[in-house]
Amino acid sequence: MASANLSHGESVIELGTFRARTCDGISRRSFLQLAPSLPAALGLGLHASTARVDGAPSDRSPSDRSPSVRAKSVVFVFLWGGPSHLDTFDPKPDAPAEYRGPLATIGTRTPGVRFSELVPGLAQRSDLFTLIRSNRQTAPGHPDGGTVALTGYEERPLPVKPNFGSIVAAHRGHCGGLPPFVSLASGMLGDSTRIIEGYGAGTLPPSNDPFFVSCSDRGQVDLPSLRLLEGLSPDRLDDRKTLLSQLETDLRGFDSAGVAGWNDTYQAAYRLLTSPEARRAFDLTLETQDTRDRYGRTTFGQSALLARRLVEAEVPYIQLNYSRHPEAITSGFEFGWDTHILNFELLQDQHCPIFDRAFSAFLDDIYQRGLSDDTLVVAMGEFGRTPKINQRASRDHWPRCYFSIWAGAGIEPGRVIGASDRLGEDPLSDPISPLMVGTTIAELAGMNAEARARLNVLEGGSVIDELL
Amino acid sequence: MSYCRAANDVSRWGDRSRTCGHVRRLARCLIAVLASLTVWVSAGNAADQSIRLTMDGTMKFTPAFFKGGSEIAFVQFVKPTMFQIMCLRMDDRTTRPLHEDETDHELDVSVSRDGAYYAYVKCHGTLKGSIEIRDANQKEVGHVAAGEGFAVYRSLAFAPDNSRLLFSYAENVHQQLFSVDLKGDDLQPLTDSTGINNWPSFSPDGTQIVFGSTRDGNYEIYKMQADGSTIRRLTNSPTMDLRPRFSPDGRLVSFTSNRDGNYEVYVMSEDGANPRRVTNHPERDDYAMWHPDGKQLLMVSERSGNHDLYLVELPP
Repeated sequence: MASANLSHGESVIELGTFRARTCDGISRRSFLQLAPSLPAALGLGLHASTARVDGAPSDRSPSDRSPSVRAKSVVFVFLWGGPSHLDTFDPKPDAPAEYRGPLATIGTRTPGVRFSELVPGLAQRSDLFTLIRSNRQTAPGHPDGGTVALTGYEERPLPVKPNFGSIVAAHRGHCGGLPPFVSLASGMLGDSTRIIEGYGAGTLPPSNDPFFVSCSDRGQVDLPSLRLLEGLSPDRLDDRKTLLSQLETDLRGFDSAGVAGWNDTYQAAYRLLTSPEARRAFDLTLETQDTRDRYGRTTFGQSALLARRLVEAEVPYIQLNYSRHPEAITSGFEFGWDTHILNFELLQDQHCPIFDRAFSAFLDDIYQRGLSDDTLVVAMGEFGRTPKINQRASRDHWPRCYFSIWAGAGIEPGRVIGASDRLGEDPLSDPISPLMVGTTIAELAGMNAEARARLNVLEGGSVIDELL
Repeated sequence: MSYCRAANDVSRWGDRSRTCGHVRRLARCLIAVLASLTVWVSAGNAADQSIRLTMDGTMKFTPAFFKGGSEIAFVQFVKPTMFQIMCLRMDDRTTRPLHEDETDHELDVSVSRDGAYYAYVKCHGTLKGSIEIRDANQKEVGHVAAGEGFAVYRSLAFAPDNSRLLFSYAENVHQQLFSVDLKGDDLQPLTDSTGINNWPSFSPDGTQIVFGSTRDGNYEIYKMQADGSTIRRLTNSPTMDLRPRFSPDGRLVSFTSNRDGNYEVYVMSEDGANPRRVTNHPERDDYAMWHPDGKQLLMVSERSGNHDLYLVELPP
């Protein structure tokens, strides 16, 4: 194990509680443990059969699968909780004070376009992306709004429709040793009441559920559903015989219900843990300190860097979540963008500096590393926030109008598409719905209308013509 | 293709290794020269003459001298689900949680000038936070219950004689400054303006308060009498001026501003004259707190993406 040679501050990949390298010279033994939730978390797309659900073979590189694939990888940056559009990318400096808020605006690289002073890094990179200011949806709450944002449809009537990532995963199938749909979060997304029902595969086979991976502010990567068991050192992960033996032993510890499906699934666990490609993709220590610094030593910053590595590993769909929970200040919950109180302070102190730094670094890397041509980047929340300041000098939920950021995959950057009215309450132009967002993502990922129909997904959706 | 090339190069590895040794030595010399140049070039930059007090790099907020300056209390983002008050010992630089068993968020720690009391915001449930006032032995002295609905207090500050505790609170669209006694009783409003009033700080003699306000459109710094009268604006910049603090002698006010493009720490005379930039770094400097000697500022600085506590000499 290489940890003894690593300098202070160097980080780790964690597989469960296993540290392949440590940041402080500690050499912890690794242990492999399989949790009962492993089948869902792994995604049964890692089954012995890695065929796509639409029946096409899956052993080709993504670029071979469709001549119209513009995005080998999609990175969906989910700003969970609903960032204020007026205080970030759609300021209204001429609106009355009770709408515009106290923040100044700054110029961008896009002539005539101004952002809030809280996103100076992205203002200097407005020529790298296209901004839509006319997104609109209908669900006002977090879990239901999250489902609409991630699937394009409301939660009811049942069944819940699949996440855009699950759709792309189903079309693309498994990619080498890595899952086709990775969601960067410490667990299932939800608020203090329940999960987002549209988190995963929905009407598609559960094999297209997201594979959750979390990353700490120190760059420790954790696969929540893989736990390393006593007696299995990281060096022995490559000892496939031992690993298989260990996994089989572990299987005997579960009841019959838990064992169902394991024969396929443990192969997947085995494949992921022993795949040099997968382990390399998750190992942020392979990045220079300078690169890791540029993203910021925050959970979101290091997760954004991990997302870039997964793009380089050609993972078809990565959902990069700002937080697992939407609430801004709730004990026991991660900090999302739901700023019903202290909106301006939280944006000033935490959310915007973290996002501005990490997303700027991510965009820089995507372009500088030549990844932008075949990577689609979309950043948005489930909705915006009330243009009129609320009783707590903050802003509440506002699904009628919000923003999204689009970059890469041949999308002409440096533009603003759509506009909101003078108060930021409604789109002036044709609104962009979540279904249009999902359809455009699918189209760029190589799923034309025929392919979508074959999977019975995104029915009635249309692409965002102005974007393409 | 690259694999083949690597294999063919194996036979020359010894030569390459020797060459690499020379290159490394040369590089080390260059780095040493550049490092000395860097120190020289940055000699006028106060932030680069600073003392780094913490090394973990996690996000930190609102530092305050504690226990007569032998410790620093601050809020740390200890994990994605928790903000916690930590204490840094100045002698051995170790840190520990102030409240070992706390599981709720703790925000905005403030310490009285004589170190006899501290106060903080404790979060409960969803988007709610009360004020907790304790003595130096952590015994509860006072408490201000969380308001109705979503409600969290912010920006606590003790009067120099420990007679009052200031805080900021939003209701009826605007955010105002209030004060209570140390039991949390006798609520008195201090401001009644539009917008957000925040970050109050008493002058050392207790007669004046500096604070931030958006009453004129954006974040500026103001001064008023301790009873809320005679409000005077001290700054006028198109961007944000935040978190003012009176110096121990009352002659200067420190504050944070992004007037030069990112968050930097400034000082100005107590009447708003002669603003001077203390830090100058492309990353963030914020949450300045005066050292009791009045010659240094304690702050949170972001360097290489890490957030740590620094002590910075005040430029002459």
